[in-house]
Amino acid sequence: MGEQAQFSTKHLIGIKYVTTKDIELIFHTADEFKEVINRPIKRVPTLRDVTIANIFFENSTRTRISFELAEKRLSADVINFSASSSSVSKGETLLDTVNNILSMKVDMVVIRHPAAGVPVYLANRVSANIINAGDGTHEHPTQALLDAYSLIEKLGPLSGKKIAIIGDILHSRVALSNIFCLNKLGARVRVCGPPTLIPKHIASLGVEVSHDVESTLRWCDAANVLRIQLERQEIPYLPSLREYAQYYGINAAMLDRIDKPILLMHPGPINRGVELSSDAADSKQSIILQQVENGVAIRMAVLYLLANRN
Amino acid sequence: MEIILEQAKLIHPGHPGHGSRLNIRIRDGKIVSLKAGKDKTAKTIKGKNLHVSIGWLDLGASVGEPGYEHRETVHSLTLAARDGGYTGVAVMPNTKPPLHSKAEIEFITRKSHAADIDIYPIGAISKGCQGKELAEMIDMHTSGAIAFSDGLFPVEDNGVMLRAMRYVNHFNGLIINHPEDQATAHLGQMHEGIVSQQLGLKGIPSIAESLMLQRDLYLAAYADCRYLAHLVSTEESVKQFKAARKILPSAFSSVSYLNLLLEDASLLDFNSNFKQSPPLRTARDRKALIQGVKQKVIDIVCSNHRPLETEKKDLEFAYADPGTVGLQTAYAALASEQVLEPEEWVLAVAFHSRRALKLALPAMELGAEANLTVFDPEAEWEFGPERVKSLSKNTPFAGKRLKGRVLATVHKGVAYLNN
Repeated sequence: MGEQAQFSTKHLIGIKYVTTKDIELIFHTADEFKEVINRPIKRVPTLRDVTIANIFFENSTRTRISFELAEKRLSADVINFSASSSSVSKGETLLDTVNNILSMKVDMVVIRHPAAGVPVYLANRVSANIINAGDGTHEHPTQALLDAYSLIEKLGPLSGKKIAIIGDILHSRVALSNIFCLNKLGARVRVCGPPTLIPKHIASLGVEVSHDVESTLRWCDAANVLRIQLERQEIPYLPSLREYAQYYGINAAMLDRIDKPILLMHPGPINRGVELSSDAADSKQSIILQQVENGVAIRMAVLYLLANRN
Repeated sequence: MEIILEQAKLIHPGHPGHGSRLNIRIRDGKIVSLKAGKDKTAKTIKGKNLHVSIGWLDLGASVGEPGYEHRETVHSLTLAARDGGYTGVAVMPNTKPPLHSKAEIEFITRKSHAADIDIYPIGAISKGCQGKELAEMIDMHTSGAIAFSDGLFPVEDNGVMLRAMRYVNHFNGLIINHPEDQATAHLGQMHEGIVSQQLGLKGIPSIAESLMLQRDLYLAAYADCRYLAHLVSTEESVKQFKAARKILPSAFSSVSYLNLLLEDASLLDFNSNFKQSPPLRTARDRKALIQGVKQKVIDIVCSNHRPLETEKKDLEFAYADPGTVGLQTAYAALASEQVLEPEEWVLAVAFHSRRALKLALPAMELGAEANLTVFDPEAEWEFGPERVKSLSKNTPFAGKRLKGRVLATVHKGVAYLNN
């Protein structure tokens, strides 16, 4: 790949720290990698001799696998580290853990952590490129990039398009990164969910707020439906999942009623029967599996562009 | 030892010399001359714009003893306090064990005798500072506790607070509470607002403070208790307190100097040194707090000195403890930004803090034991690592150049000259 354009930052901490040009560069690069991963031989030697550590302090299946696949497709050397197999339970600090890994000459770190701000903390203290794979309720930039990329594939340029984010906005780093990303790409964004799961100051980010799912679906061109993250709710914000499913859940009957072809997205894993019924999740309007495929191409692009900066 | 403060502007409202430039001569810890004009003998302290006032008294600093000696001892607290211009410090009870009975209060008062500054223990309102059962406050008062507070822990239970306020009427005591409703502030990491939204951090809404402040004011009125709303941080609190003052003459309020200086936007890069309790709030709050001090709605400016070891501070933001050391930088950091006039500062840190604690003002007259702070708003200096006197280094001002310097303090017969 010969493009001259360079990524503006050394790390991918969050969408709010990158420019619209960066986002466009990632998408352009992802187009090329998407072509690569659909070839019979899916591997390119681009990141040969680059060592990448995937450090996950929080459970993850799809994000970790997607990063790992992206790294392997680029021929990087990959090491995986997860909190369950770590020294963290023995009281080692985050910085010690990461420094230990870096002293094994690691070039890039993909990190997921339950505390917001951890990638910033690391970026200020270690020399490797840091890629945020989700930090607390702060950002999940590669998810937002793959969501926007998937939307553009289906809808074309997002300027003026109406995108709804529905569900637990309060505990969602996906929502925050999506809002930053969609704003930068000129889309209109509406968040929708029960009032206790909508942050008080969310409108300051330039989004609309609604508590009515059906009217929101009628308004939007695409709906990104978020998981109800019970594991992040340290106190109850909802009386029950049953009530949530009844008043905020999306099903095929509702999609039929709005009588308008909208796209349905979900970052996974889905609570089937809670935020999405199976007949909605598996409907023709769903692009959930395309999101997953695009995730690999987007992550390849991010890794490639950051490595290319060094 | 004899020293002369040359051409020092006296800041002492009510004193005949207030606002004039004096040559003050101190011999063996006593003021022996208060004269205008030049004097060329003895050791002389000069400055571009020398000021002198009665010694400052910080209300609500944390000391590590007993239990957290690695953070701060009474000795290191003394050094930090004098360097920052304080000749007295009232310390919070959040030690291990807490200052919650006669034994711990006597421990601090014994240590205080040997220290070069006045150290006043604030006793706990409740056993273990847990907000459940009242601690033995009469006994602690008799042993030297200057006031009562659960310090870092707001008293949640309305009944406990009411009983504490009534109980201390036995000796017309002062109840100090940092108003922050914990159920509303639930797990908040910073001020709830636009910045917390951008950072994805759970916020502490201003209303968490308003709710408990209003409760405290109602209870103080009902119990007819002397009360200090400690470390208020919001515009709303200033309004509430202004209204309450009309009917509650014995209610006081304080603010942390950092809330007069910094805003929540300081947290944009997750620097845990700016993680504070109370949290740094918006520009609007900061302006209202400054006006509150200028208009004497807020009485006292505190250093909110909270020494913490690196292991508690240099951590992922969510896991870091709130607080910073403040005794050495409170004056200089505010003076650097010219937030308050010298007179406003002196009233807040020397006069009002003593009034709340019912302490007599040190005399500024011939023959009196000198209890003075000498400072120069024009003097520039760098708060380099070698200057940190505290055993803890958690400060956002490390290595910063500051304008406004304490040059000396005189107290207990000892003159401490900053180099």
